[in-house]
Order: sequence, then C-alpha cells, then structure tokens
Amino acid sequence: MKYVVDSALCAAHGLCADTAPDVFTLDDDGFNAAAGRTVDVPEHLEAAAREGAAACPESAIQIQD
Amino acid sequence: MTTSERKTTGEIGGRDHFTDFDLDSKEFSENFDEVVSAVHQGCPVARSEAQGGYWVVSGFDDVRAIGQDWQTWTNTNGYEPTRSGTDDARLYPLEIDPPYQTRWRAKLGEYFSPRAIRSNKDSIRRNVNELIDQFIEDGECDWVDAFAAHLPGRVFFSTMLGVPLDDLPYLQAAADQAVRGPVEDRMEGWNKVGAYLAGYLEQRAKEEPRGDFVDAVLEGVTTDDGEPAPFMHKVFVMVDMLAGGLATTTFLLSGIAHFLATHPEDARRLADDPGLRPGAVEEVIRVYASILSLGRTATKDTEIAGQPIRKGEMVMLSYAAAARDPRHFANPHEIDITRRIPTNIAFGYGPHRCIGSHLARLQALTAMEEMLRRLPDLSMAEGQEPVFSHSTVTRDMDTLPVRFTPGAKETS
Repeated sequence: MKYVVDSALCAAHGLCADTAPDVFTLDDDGFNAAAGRTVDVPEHLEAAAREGAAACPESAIQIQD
Repeated sequence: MTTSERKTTGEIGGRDHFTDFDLDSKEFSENFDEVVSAVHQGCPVARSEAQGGYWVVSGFDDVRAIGQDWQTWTNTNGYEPTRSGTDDARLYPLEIDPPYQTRWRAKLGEYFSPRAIRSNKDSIRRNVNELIDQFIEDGECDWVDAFAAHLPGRVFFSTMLGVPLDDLPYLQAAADQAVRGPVEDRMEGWNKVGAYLAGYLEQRAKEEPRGDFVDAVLEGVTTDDGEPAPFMHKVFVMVDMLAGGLATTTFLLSGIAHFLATHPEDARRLADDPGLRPGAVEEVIRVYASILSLGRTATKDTEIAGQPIRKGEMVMLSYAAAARDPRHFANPHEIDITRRIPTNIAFGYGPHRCIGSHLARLQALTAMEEMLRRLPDLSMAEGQEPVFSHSTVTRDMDTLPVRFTPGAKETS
C-alpha cells in the first residue's frame, strides 16, 4: 500500500498526524511532510494510514492499494 | 466528585441535563462549566426533547469519530434541528456531503491555508490598530462592541472578498444585525448580507478575474450530476463563509481579551515571551470554543457509546464540550498557556472541519500581540463581568466591559 499527499490540497489542519502519528508527520508549518510525494506504507500500519487519510478535511491524502 | 465516579443525575440549576437537555436553555448557559463536567461524568449522549428532539454528543472521541464518518452521519438534513434539509437556502459546503462537498473544499481550501493567510497579516494588523485607535484614548470600552464585533467583518469583506471600501459600513451593519442583533431581526440581517453578496458575485462575474477567493467561487465546481454548480450554490458558499466566520471569531477575540484581562500573570509572561503566544491562542480557542454544537443525522440505525440512535435522528456534536473532555485534558476548564494540544477539536473533525481555522488563529494572535503592546494593563471594569449567551450553534459574549491606561493613537 502507498499513500500520496496532494500538496495543492493539504491545508495544514494536522489531523492526519494526530490520527495516525506513526504514519504521518508534519513539517514546521504544519503541512503533511510528505506533501507532493508517494510514500510506501508498512503492512502493520495500513489501517492507521486509512484512518489518517479519512481524517483529512481536504481529502488531500489518497490511498493506493 | 472525581472523574472516576459516575454521575447519575444531571440536575443542575433546576433542569435535568441528562434526560431533558436543551442547548438553548438558560439553565445550560448560566451553568456552562458545571453542565459540561456533568455530561462528561455521567451522560456522554444526552437527550433533548427541544426543537422536535435531538441527541447531544459531548465526548472527544465520539465527536471525532462521528465527524469523520460522513457515510453514517449526513449533513444534508441541516446543521441544527430547525433546518429542514430541503431548504432552498442550504449552506454550501456545510449542509452537503462528499463528494460534492469535497470538490467545494478543494476549490476553496487553498485560499485559507496557512501560506495563503500569511499574506493577510499586514492588513489584519492595520485593521487591529485602527480599531484600537478608536478607543485607546478613553481608557475603557466594551470590548465586544468596540473591537471584537468589527475585526472579523473587516478582514472578511475587505481582505478576502475585496469589496469596495465604501460598502463596508453597510455590510458591517447588516452582518452585525445578522450575528448579534435582536433575535427577531437577525433573518433580515442575513437577507441583506445575502442580497449584497449575490449582487457582488454578479458584478465580479462581469469583471476581469483577480485570481482571488471570489473568482474561485465564481469558477465553481461540478455537482454530483456532473453539472456546473448553479449560481445560488455560489451565493450560499459566500453566505456560509460569512456565517461560519463572523460571530465565531468575534467570540474568540472576546475570549482573548477576557483571558488577558483576568489573568495578569499570564499576560506578563506572554508579553515577555512571544513564543508562548500561539499556544495561548490555541488554549483560548479550546476553552472559548465558539461552536457549541453542529448537527449530523443518522443515515441508518446505529449507536454512540452504547446509546442506540435510529435512522433519521439528529445528533448535535458539541465541539465546545469535547474540547473540555477530562479524558483528554487535565483541568479542562482552565487555560494553561504551556499546554500543547496537537489539533484543536474546537474546529471540528473530518470533512466539515472549520475551513477558516488558520484565518481565525491569525486574527486572534495578531489581536493578542497588539493588545499586549498597546493595552498591557487591560483589566475588567470595576465590579463588571462579561455577559455570556448562546444559541444552539454558537457561544457568544454580549458585553465585555474593560479598562486600561489610556494611550495615544497611532494612525490618523
């Protein structure tokens, strides 16, 4: 599983990192630190990644199975 | 009583808030902290028979989970019990669900991100100081009337929408009437604001695009039928931004002043250490949470914390109560300027989380900075207390009489 963060949509609400801190981290301005990139998700964190993506108010995080 | 004891009665101030909750009741408004503590201890899902009946959800984890689960909890039935959900005056994107809602958020979000908001900083500071100039020589004022009720409108209308300066007094008066006028006059205020915004959108559609928020609204998105969003949806996007951003920020700015005026030790620390200020703003947002509650309607039979909820029933998510959940915050009613909270549930959670949170934070931080600089000894007027009130949706401060050592104007 991978996730991709749309840097145009990320608005630094921080809910992804709050919901799934083991998957998502924020930069100094509060944006998803992986904005604009595609990131591999380890198998044991797949459920957390889905929850964190679902928490985003801007739907900026897409999960790719 | 400690948090480990389960409270078995919600009787406070002559009302049982567990079985006969009423978000609009004076028994709740007048005993706010106590009732919030009681529901956290004994009744995470309280029942109200007011306004046709609804449930009130107060737990942080329940509010968060419901906020994220838009498939089970729809917004299309309205944001409070008196909304029908078939109203022509539906607020967009508040009273719609994904995926149409998601497209509007994507369209509007970039104008409210921290990077976009930063460019408004100088304009906000200028407006803060112009307002302070109007009363700083007097040594006293009603903070709500003199400051807090005005800054959000100035920022929204002039900075975000770019309306002509000549129109500001009319719009401010109409918005003021809509937000804090006599209850029976508020609809007239909203109608004036809506009519102005519709006219402004029509006007802007004829002009060269400025690449601003208004142009993004005019561009619009497609509905779930694949059709371009109709003009009325765009008008009610504008009304939604205004409805969500004015009274809420007014309460926050009143909260900042009330906190500084009643916590001189904290005010001194904040004056000496600017690094503490963003955290202090976050705490004021948490404790003076503007949104008392916003509604969702069950799309199927379900349950919350063991309480069965039937399809079609409305639950009011109390952001203000969730922000004081003792399971998440020690001394939940107290502002601790050194507390660090990862995200602020006062802005809600999930797809409908406040789009303007960063703009609200920036206004509050800038106001705090200028208050600490220009009104360093701000205090409550002798023997005076603020007057709180609330509706189903928002908490309000009607008056906040403060005093301070008179100072000099800085702008002409």
